[in-house]
Amino acid sequence: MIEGAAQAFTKGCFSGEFASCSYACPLHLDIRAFVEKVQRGSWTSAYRVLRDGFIFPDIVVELCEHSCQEHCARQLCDDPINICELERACLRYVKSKETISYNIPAKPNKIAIVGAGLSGLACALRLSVKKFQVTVFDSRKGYGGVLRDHLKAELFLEDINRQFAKEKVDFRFNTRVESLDMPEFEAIYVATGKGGDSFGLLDSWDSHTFATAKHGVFLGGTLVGAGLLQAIDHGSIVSRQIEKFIPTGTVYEYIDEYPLGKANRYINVENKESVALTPMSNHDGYTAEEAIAEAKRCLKCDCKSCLETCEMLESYHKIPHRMATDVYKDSLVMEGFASRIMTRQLSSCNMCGLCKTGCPTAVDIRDLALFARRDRVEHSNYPKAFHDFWLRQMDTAVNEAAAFLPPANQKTCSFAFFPGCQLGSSNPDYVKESYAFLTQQLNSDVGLMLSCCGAPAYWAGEEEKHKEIIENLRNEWEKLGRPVVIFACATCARIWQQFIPEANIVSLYEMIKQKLHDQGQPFVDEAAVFDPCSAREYSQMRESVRSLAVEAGIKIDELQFHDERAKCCGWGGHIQAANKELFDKIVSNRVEADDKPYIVYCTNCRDVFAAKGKPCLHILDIVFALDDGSRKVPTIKEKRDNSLKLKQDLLKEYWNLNYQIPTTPGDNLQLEIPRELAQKMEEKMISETTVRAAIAHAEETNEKIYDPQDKTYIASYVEGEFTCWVRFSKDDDGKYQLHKVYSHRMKFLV
Amino acid sequence: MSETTQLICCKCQKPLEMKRVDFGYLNQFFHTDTLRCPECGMVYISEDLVEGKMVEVETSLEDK
Repeated sequence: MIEGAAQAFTKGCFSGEFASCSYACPLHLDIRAFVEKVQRGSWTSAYRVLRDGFIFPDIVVELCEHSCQEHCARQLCDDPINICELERACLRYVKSKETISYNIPAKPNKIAIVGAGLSGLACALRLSVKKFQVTVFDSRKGYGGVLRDHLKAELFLEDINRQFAKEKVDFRFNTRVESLDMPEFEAIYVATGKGGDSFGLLDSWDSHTFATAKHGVFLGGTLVGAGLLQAIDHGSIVSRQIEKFIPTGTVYEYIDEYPLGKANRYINVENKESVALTPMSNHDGYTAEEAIAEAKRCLKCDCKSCLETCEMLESYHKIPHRMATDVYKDSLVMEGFASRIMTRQLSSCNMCGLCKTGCPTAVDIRDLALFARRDRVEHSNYPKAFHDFWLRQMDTAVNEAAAFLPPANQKTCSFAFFPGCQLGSSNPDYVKESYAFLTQQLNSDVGLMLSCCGAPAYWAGEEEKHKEIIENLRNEWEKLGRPVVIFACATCARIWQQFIPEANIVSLYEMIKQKLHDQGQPFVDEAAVFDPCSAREYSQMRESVRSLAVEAGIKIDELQFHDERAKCCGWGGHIQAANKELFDKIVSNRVEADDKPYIVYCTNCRDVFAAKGKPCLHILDIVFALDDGSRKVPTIKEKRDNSLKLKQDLLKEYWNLNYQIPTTPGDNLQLEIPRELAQKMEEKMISETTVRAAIAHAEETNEKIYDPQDKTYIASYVEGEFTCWVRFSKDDDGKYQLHKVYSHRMKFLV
Repeated sequence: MSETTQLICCKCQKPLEMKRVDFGYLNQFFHTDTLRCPECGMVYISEDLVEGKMVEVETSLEDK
């Protein structure tokens, strides 16, 4: 994996960074940390944050125009936090402003500061705190620059004296520096103020390093055009530049960690409660209680939008940057020498893209997970067992169960129905009724495309396999005369739009809505519409389904998450084999989201919910009066049988073709499977087809084990990535009974 | 439990014996003693072993 390739997916994420207000602050105060301390009424701690950021807190609070407030996320839902007054309150209520002096050994390095204005003093203080030997020169008496003439000069002087109280700095006032040839000093900072003497170095000043043509001499502050507060920042930056310069004699480029552009990134405030600005009872400023109340309005912006909306991201609790870094680290792991850490997580993504919908910068973790899965597949180190079950189902859908036919007696068609692999597997009548309807409405000018869009391969990261399926679909579609494709499944529509964008598409429900009015069997009075996650991009599909339900006489309710905020039912991304616990949790959350029955228009949503006992109607159940929402989920074998029988029935009815359903080993065995075992098989994704094949194989080869105690036989059967074990008995009439069934992923080597 | 009784390989008509069986998963290989036919090598793995230790090992290897 190329370094940075995974990280590119999360580039826009700003989780874990400073809040936008801090980027707007000329001195980059950690406002979130400051406000958090005010919220607790910890004035001393809050003051320390102010001092760390501002160097001279009383001066800065007085001079600052508080542009931070213009970049407060609160303004998106009500009023910005009154940060200015919180700072003033802090200065007012802190018990002691006494500085702390750290017991650090004195450094021998001598540094000269020319100019005792705010910038020079800021640099001097930062360096003296670290015990450098600092000498400050100024041609006039006392501190310079704005500090001389300001109305609050006394207050400013007090603050400066306070901050320098415990530091040893050699102030040489009334001392004009004539030349910078001062060999006793290892570095010099010239901060002589606006229009001040730059000793002829202004032209050579490098804004990226603050250095000049003269070795060891730095310029900054209002001398180079900075504003007052920026001048303080310059002093601070130069102190760090000097620290790096002294041991190496090299000047390094200064990296701006607080680019102003980052001040315009805001967290999602959609679900934030609106709280009005705290009123001030006294014109002099907030009381302590008022300040605390105002601080409590702060959203302490640190975007966790994706972690709050997605169960997977919430359960792993890793911010996108970290995930991307871990994906990259995993790619460097040498087999047997270290462990990968992202396998389970990247395999637990439903690929629904809700993270992107809620993300202020549209970071899509789905893309990262897909990228990682593809990379792992390409390097043959992805557990195949995670997707094997669905890939085998897909193989049936694109081979035995597939059919591409124009209407009888036509070579091409204007429309083609692509029901998707799951619709007919769940209930063949969904497809039969829909196709009959379309045939009638479109004057028989509608062909049939029975196949799979390849979503299982796409989600499994099997790029090559998916490409093959897409190529085949494209060829077949072209052979049909490039018809408009009618979709029942939003996932199919999405995949087609992404990979065969030249095809015009329309949803089945829209077609039905245009033609059917006041029809259908409601079965229920009231229901909640559960939008499939893949329908987020298809507003017409969503609206059509609602119209059909309403026309059938159902009062529909919206879930808390619907339309563009639709959540995956759990089936997306095929996470069940990799993370069953999470899958079950997601399904339960969806089922419990509303007590009313659900109306769905994705067969996977229907079957996933029905398996949990949730009354659930497919919109086609209503439109064609097929089911009242109590239909049980077909078993894995029934789904396979349904898809093949559907093909057989349709080919016979519309084309008068006889399709012979292929047999599988053990098809004809008389086999009884106790209910609890049948249930276990579905949970463990073991098909009855596999169980039958296992028994048939054991009987045919005699490769079985006899247990004399209960007179049962035991046999194993390898299918795909799984080894299935069956324990069975046979009665005198040749009937079989299944006693146990289980499967594992590892293989024993004979 | 039937695991403690003598299981018989139908093909060879021999009782299974505790023997070494090698396993492989995700390019990792290991072995354990389990019942197998002394003649043809047919292996028996119990449900308890599959749903206990084996799932544990599979999960831990997948997480690596």
